[in-house]
Amino acid sequence: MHVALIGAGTMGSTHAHAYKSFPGLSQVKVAWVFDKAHERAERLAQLLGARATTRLEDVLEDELVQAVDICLPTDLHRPFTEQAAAAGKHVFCEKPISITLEDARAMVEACRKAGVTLMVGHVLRFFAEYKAAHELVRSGRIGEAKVIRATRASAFPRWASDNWFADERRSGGPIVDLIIHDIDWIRWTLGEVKRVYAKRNGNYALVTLRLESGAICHVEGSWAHPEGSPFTTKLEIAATGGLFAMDNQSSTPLHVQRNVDGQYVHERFSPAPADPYALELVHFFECLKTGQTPLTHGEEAIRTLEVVLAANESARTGKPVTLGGATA
Amino acid sequence: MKFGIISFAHMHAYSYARALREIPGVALAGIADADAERGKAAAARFQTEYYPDYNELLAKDIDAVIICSANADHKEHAVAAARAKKHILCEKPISISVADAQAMIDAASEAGVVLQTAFPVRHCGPVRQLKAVVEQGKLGEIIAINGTNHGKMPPGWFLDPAKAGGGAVMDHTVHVADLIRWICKTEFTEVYAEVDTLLHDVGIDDCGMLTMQLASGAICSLDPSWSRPDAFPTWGDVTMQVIGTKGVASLDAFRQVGMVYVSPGGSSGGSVYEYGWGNDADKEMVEAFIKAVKGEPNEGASGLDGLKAMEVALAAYESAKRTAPVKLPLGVA
Repeated sequence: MHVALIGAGTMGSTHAHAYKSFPGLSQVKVAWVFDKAHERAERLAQLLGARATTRLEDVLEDELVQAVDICLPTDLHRPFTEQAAAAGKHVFCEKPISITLEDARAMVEACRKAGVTLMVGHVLRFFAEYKAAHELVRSGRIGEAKVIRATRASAFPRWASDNWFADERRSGGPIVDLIIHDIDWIRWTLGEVKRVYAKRNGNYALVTLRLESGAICHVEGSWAHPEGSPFTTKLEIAATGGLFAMDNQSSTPLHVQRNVDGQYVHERFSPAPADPYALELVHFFECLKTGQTPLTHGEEAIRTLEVVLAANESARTGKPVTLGGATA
Repeated sequence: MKFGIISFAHMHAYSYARALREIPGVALAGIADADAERGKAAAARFQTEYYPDYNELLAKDIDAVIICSANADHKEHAVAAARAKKHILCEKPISISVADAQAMIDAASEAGVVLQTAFPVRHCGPVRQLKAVVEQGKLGEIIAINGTNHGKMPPGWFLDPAKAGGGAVMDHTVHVADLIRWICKTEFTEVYAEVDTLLHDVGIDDCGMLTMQLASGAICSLDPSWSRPDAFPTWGDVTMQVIGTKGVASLDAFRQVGMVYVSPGGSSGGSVYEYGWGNDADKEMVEAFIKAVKGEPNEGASGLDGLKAMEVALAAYESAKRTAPVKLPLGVA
């Protein structure tokens, strides 16, 4: 299986390391690394023994390439997906699928028409702790989930190329880019969302969801933490038969404290049982082999996108938004 | 200074009675409780007089009362205490309606007595530290607060809408609402809430999610749910994530604990609970009230503070009923 890595930024680099070192991906050959900046493409291409290019045509015209792995800023997802699909390539696309429903629907339609598979990188479903939480809830061992709290907080992601996260027309902002993870997990685990109410203050968001099941969810998202803050996630499920709570700060098993040239340094390590970014790619290639539909296929990503866009709409209008289009 | 306690319907009365016995220069002169069994037992435990009728207690030579009756009875007890010229420390929520709370405030004002609302969390050491951090400007301008005040399912009248005026949202909105007003020195202007009964088979709300707008421009959310199961190692929590333009503060007010592990049935079984070592917030709240009676500066919550916090809970119920944000203040309905 030949694949082309499209985009050699932060996420492209994460995927490159997964291809290079994850045993389950050893059958996948990265043939091309595309990036508009040649030196970035070249760096990852060297790591992977691939060819670097700044011309998408090189990838699309290579008949050995069966799939593309799109790790580009969100506003580029639609044009690259449409071109790849038209060339008959299967598409793995980073989340969020896009920042408008129109673009997302066009992407799904392009892949459907071309008969290629589309998977969107809702990677939280492949994180060991979130998968375990999903399985615990679905097992019924703590009863029915009723009040859910999730948090995802970090400093502003300034490290991105061109600082593209700062442009909401490209990234969608902290609800669409960041807490889409938790909202997708909630949908996956607890079903569809009926109503959304949200408030935003710059890069900080507070979102309340009422699910079809009746459960109430609170999702906190922050890109407003000070630079240097540890990336923080929390999940709590209050259920009829018990409570489940986890957070990545208190479950950090290894802290290293040092003094380097007079500066106190505190490092935190929590090694993943298996790289979740590798696991989602393994799932994608497995689906290509077997013909099964990926867990996070295009329609699934659209449903999650509908919820985060509704949250942005609520934050803008100050009113709750009932999904299905009507404003309550 | 001589105190009376009107009713032990709210379990906080036991902690306040203990605090009164530990504060020098203060005496607990009597306990009134319409529930004779409960009142007599409390009087025996705290070595004081028992009165079946609170009017008898108010007729005695006491300076102040602490009211720990069911929420709906606060107004009757507070107005009577004010007319008897007794200073009043009233359990939260101050009442169950804006009109009743205003009547309590007016009665105290006319009688020239102090009326404070029992918000002990203000006096919790880590909370005071957070207030200092905010006041020192370490966080810059506050843009958002994400708070919780979780609890376990309470018993008895807490589940009776006529007595309690509401469930989890009424019981647990007021503490954090008060902290936000106190720390940020601003008012709530709007509340949206989802409120429901989802976790327990009871006839009152046991969970909710509030989103509030502050006049300062900051946004807040608050989870007041009775969502801790019996097995939870403590009664609940008060937490606040405070997001500022220069920094972020995370408060878990009752985190100053050690863990106790008990193995009654051998190495495989047993239970875990928290053993707190933080400051005595209930006692320091009663001390603040005593300062107020003496006319000294203090950080106790006024009757108006009590009303403002309760108003957020009332607005939450109204919002949930209408599925729409509700503006504050509500006004006297």
